[in-house]
Amino acid sequence: MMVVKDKPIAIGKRGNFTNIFCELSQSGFTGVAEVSYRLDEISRAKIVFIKGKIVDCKISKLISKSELTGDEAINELLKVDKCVVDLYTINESAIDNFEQNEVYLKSTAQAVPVTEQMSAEGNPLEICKLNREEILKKYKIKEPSEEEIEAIIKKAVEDELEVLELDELEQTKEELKTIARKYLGKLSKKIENAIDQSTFPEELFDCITDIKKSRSLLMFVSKEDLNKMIEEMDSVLKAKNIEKVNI
Amino acid sequence: MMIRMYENVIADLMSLDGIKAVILSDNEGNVIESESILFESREVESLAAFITDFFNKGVETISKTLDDEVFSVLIECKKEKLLISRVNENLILLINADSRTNIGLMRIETRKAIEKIQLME
Repeated sequence: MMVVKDKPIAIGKRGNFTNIFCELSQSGFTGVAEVSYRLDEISRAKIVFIKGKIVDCKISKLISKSELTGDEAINELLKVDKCVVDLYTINESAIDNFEQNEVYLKSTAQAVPVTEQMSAEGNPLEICKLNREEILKKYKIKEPSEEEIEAIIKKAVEDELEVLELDELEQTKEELKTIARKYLGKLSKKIENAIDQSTFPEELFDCITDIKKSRSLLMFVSKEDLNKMIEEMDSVLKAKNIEKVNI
Repeated sequence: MMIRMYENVIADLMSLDGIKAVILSDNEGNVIESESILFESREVESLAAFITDFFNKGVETISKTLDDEVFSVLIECKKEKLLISRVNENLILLINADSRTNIGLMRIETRKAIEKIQLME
C-alpha cells in the first residue's frame, strides 16, 4: 500500500542510504522518502516512514520498468552507496491507516548494520523489535499462570493414559471372549455380554469368578474344559498386569 | 566544490510514459546528468552538444528579434518530440519523447523538474 506524498520537506538530500535511513529513524520521521539512485540502472524507491519506522517500500526500475517491493526492495537499498533523497509529508488519514495496521518490514531490523552513532533508542534493531506484551495484547491472548500450565499438562497426560488404558481393556476383553468362544461355542454369549459390560479391568476378575461359580455351565461343559478356560483367562489377565482389588 | 546529483529529477521525468531520454547539460553542451532508453553515452554526448548549440543560437536570435526572453523550445518530428528548456543561466534540460506523448504533461513535468533543481541549488 503506497500513499500519496503531500508537501516537500527536503529536496535533493545526498549521501549513503544507510546513513540517511538511520538519520530518519532517529528523528522519528513520518512521511515519504523518494530515493533516486543508479545501481544497474536508474531507479526510484518510495519509502513510507511512520515515526521513524519503515512501513512500506517500493522500487521502480525506470528503464526495465520492473518493480521490487518489501524486503527485496530494502535489501537492494542497503547496497546503495550514493543516492538523492526527497522527503515529503503525508496526510494524517494515511498515518492513521498505517498505525492501525502496524506493519513493519522485518528485514530493516536484520539487515541494517548497527553503527556507533546510533543510540539505543534510535537503533533500527530496537525500533523494529515487536514487544511480546504488545503482540499478546493485539491478539487478545491471556498469558496462563504456572498453575494453569501444570493443570493443562496434567490433563493432557491423563487423557492420553486413559485412552491407552481403554484400548488395552478392549483388547483384553476380545482375548477373553475368544477364549470363551473356543471352549463354550454358542454358550459363550452370556459370558461375552458379561465381559462387554465390564468398564474397569478389575471387573473382568469378577466375570471369571462368576464363571467358576456357575452351575448351569457344568451341565453342558465338562469341568476339565471349564477349568482350562478359567486358567487361560487368568493367565491373560496376569499377562496384562490386571490384579484383583480386594476392598 | 560540491558534486551535484540530479538523479531525482531525471527519475521524475523518466517515470513518465513515452519519455525516451532526459539530458541535463551545461551551456557548453557538457552532459551533467542523463538517462536514456535508446541512446548510448557517446550518442547522448553528441546530442547534448548539438542541441545545446542549436538552442543557444536559436534563443539568441529569437530573443533579439522578439525582444523577449526565450526559455523553452519544442521541436516536433515525425516520430519524436524534443523539449529544450533553460533551467538557470548555467543549465539546460533536454527531454526526448515519443511523438504520441502529451505536450502539456511534458511542460508541467519540466516546470516541476526546473523548480526542483532550483530548490537543490
